[in-house]
Parts: sequence; C-alpha cells; structure tokens
Amino acid sequence: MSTAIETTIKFEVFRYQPDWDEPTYQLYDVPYREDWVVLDALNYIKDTVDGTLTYRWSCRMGVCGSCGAMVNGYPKLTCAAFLSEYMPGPIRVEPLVNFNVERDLVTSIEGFMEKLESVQPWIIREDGATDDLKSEYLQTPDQHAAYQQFSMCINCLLCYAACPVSSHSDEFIGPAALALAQRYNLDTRDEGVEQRRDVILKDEGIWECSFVGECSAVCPKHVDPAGAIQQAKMTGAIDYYRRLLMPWTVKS
Amino acid sequence: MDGEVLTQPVFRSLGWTWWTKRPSYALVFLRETSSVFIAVQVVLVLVLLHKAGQPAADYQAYLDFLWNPGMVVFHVVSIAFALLHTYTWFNLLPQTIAIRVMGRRIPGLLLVAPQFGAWAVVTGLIIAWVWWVGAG
Ligand code: SF4
Ligand code: FES
Repeated sequence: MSTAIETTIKFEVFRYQPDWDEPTYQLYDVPYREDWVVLDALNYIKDTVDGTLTYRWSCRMGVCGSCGAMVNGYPKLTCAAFLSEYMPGPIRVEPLVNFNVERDLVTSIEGFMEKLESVQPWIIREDGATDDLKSEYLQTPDQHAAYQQFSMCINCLLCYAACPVSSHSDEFIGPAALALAQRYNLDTRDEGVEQRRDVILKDEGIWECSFVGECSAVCPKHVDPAGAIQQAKMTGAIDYYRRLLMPWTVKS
Repeated sequence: MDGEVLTQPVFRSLGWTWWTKRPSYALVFLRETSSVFIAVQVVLVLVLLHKAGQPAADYQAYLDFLWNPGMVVFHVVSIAFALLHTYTWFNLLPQTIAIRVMGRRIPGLLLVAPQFGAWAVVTGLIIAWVWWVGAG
C-alpha cells in the first residue's frame, strides 16, 4: 500500500457575492498534479470543497475564451495556466481587473459587448449583398494573410485586464474590439471602412491608446492588438493628410 | 422579481499606481516620462540660440548656468532618457508598420536596423561637425 504524502498547493481565491459589503480571499488546499491547470484546481474546489465558488469556463482548451482570470496578478486563461509554473505556490486567483465583478471570478462583459458591436465586426458590403448568403467573394491566400492574425481573437478579454488605459477610461474601445475593427478593415471582401471610421477615430478609439503594449504580451492567441491599433493609427494619419491635401481623391 | 437589483458589482482596476505593478509597465512609464526631459532640453537649446545673439556676458552667464553641477546631472539624466526613448521607440516600429512582400511580413529587423544605422550616421555627422567647428 502506498503511503506517499500527497503534495498540495495553496490557493487564495477571490470571493464576492452581490449581497456582501466587501470581497474577501478564501484559502483552499488543492492536491498538486503535474498535468493540472488552474481551472482543474477550481473544478476540484467546486466539486469537493466548496460548491458555491463561481467562475466561467467551457472548452478547457483555450478556444472559448471564457476562463480568463488574474493568476498571481497576471491575466491568464485558467485552462492554460499549469500549476507546475507556480509551484510551490501559493496561487492567487482573482477576476480580471478593469471589469465589474458580479460574483467571485465572474465579471460583467456588457460594456465590452457594446464596444465590440460599435465597430461592426462583420463584413459590410455597400450593396448589402451579404444578406442573401448566395454571393461568393473570392480572396487570395495573400489577401487572407493580411488580416488573419487579427481574426484569431477569442474575446477572452485578457488584453483589457492588461491595459492601463482601459483601467482609467470606461469609454476606451480597447484592444480586442479595435483589433477586430482593423481585421475587417483589412479584409478585401469588406467595404465598411467608412462606416467604422468615426468610431475608430473618435477620442475613445485608437488615439486613446498610448502603446503600452501589454495587451499583446498577454494575448493567448498572438493577435497583437497593440500592433493592430498602431497600424490603424498609421492608416488614420495618412488618411487625414490625404483628405487635407488631396480632397479630390476622397469618395464622398 | 421585476426591477429587483440582482447584482451589485464591485469594480477593480489597476489604479493610478499601475506603472509600479510590472517591470514592463515601469519601462513604458519611463519611456513616456522621457518626453518631459527631452522637451526641457529643447527649450534649453532654443534659449541657447537666443543667447548667442545677445552680448557676450549674457551668453557666458547662460553657459555657466548650463554647466552648474545640478544642470550637469540633469543633462546626464536627459541623455539616459533620450537613449531609452530612442531605443524602445525604434524597436516598436515593426509592430506599427506591416509591410508584406510576396504575402509575408518582412522581418522586423529590416525595419529596425535602418533606423539604428541612420541614427549612427547622423550622430557621427554631428560629432564631426562639432569637432570641425571646434578645430576651426
Ligand atoms: S485580442 Fe487576444 S487577449 Fe484580447 S480578447 Fe482577443 S484573444 Fe483575448
Ligand atoms: S475554458 Fe475555454 S478558453 Fe479556457
């Protein structure tokens, strides 16, 4: 019979319920398994220790984007954060910063959804032809490659939790939504650049970004939202001077 | 349940001390702060140009001011900030410009290296000019 002493790792988990005055941290001991990620530990806590712990997750494989949390102060997908990286612990798990916390690790993402919608992240055709679902728009591999990186976003919102500008401005459209705007603006099938123009170029759009760059550092899909925003700034500046110096080249 | 407030969310942000929270944030903070020092140096140079057209005693007094120990420390800090700003800013260019050749983005080094090259050449020319003026 094996008598090996089980290695455990301490978890400090942020807890908050809507009827509490103050959030608090709760401590849990979780058995250490080399192949476990933080999400496995949360599931262990929920299944065997404390069924009231609330958090979002779904795919467990870095695809759905729902399991983001601050792990020892850094925004991470909890399904991709291996316990082995944090040994011997403790591991502090908190909800993503820069969002309202509704309960425990669950944040409210309504503000983000509004911002996302404001940039119209879908293919816009001047002829409105996308509605009939019959039209086919061809694209070469090179044209696809031009925006492919920016299309990998899984809306996990880690970039918003890493962004000091988002921290101080509710209105800033933010990294992921601006990267998606750029993704559609670069798509040769899209004709919506003009329709997105005002939202992207307003004060709370690309120009509010001060190129801290941490959004790109934390992005699990290597979207490089900071790059997308700077490239949009470059296009915006060129467009500004074109309108100023060569107004006849601008479609009315 | 109609109209009942079900949640009373708490907001948590990085706060105003965000730049102390990660080395990468601190570096960005220093990069942005460097602009203040560079702006002051620009003003000092503009005043210097103005003083050059004034009586010699005025000009000399201004030179003495620029050489006082406090100002020398300020110049040293400024040059450190200028180097940091230049170095970090040049390295950011590949993120800002996506140039594609045959469907592939050109390597970042091709954008970064010419900037450092141009910087070295311009610096060399200025040093040569100052040396030439000083010798002549
Ligand atoms: S850009 Fe990256 S970090 Fe931001 S939401 Fe998309 S996948 Fe997540
Ligand atoms: S659970 Fe889907 S991304 Fe982590």
